[in-house]
Amino acid sequence: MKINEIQDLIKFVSKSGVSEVELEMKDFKITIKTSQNEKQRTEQTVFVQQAIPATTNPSAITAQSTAAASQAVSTPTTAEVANNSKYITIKSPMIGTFYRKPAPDKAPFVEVGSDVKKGTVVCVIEAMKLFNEIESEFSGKIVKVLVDDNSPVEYDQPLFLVDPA
Amino acid sequence: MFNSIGSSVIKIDELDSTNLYLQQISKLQTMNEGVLVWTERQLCGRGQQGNIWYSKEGESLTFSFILSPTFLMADEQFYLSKAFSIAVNQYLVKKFQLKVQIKWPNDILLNGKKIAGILIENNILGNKLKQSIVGIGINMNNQVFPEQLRATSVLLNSAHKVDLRECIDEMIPFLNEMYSLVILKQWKEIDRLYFDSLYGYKKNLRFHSDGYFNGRIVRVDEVGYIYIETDAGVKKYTFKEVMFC
Repeated sequence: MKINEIQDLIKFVSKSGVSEVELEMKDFKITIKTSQNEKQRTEQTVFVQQAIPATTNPSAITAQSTAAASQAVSTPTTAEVANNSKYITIKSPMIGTFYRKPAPDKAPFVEVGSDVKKGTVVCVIEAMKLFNEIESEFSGKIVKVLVDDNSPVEYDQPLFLVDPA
Repeated sequence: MFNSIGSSVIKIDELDSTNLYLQQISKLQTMNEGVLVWTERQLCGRGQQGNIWYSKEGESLTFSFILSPTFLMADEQFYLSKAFSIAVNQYLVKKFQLKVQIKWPNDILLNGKKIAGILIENNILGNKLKQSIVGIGINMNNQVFPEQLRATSVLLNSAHKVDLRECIDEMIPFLNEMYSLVILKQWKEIDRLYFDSLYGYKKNLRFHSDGYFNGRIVRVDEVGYIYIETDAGVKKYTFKEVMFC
């Protein structure tokens, strides 16, 4: 895929109103995410993940798309990528059911904007009738809650995004 | 250094719940591992979320103790559940000659009726357990239960009233013996003891999941999933996904 084709694709996706498009071809994969919800910003984030070519003798097409891909990575929105990477995730240490509240009629342990310290309880995960209060390992501010209350979680699944203090 | 379960035994006249009490004071001050709290008047003993443990003063034995199993990974915690259900089961067998069994995951049953229950609440930091509060409730001197509870007591099956404080003293060695297997990570031995006492293990039973079916429990794994074998093969279920009929 040529660089101008990628640019056209980005324009097309941003006009279409969808928030994410993932395209996977034989030797590369491109993901375009638009920030539709944030009204003031209309830029797109482009993550290009290059797949390993299937053949030992890469063709001209592969070489070209690799070049295009690396260019695409460095061009548009490194700012946002850097911005996200400073956040830390709190992950689920186990399989179970995620609860944001200590009891159905109580307030959530944390909300977006809550300050947490090492040891602050952020949620409960129930597994096979055992109840687990999950504590934050670091200090910071909750930026995003990534899982809905009362839903199943997998081992290592990200639960919260935290802006470290 | 591990302080054994029951290193101190504290009686409190009246409590909402022994688990809740330990949880609250452990947040205010550092608690010694092994401290055990019990009461004869538990006002709203908790089963799992919202279920009430039904007891009158002096009838049920209700106690909780605190542990620091920092050597356990979060996904090894089901061994606490297995170990303490084995301990309670063994105590009831040896002391009262009752034919009790463990109903997956951790209830204690006698003739299809509940006689004891366990509630474990952990605190987790990173991938490891930091603190564990184990609550145990045993129906001892209860004379009557509402029919719909499907519960029974030691008294109803052995015709003698027991001294609750003595029962705690007698049970503590069973709890410590099983916990030492957890400390040593003797998973095979714990599994062997658990399956020895597991209700329906390798027996034909009727279950309900999407519909009714017949099957046999062939395994309960380290995370607690139950494996049921039918003519169609073996399938695993999590808690609440499958019911015993």
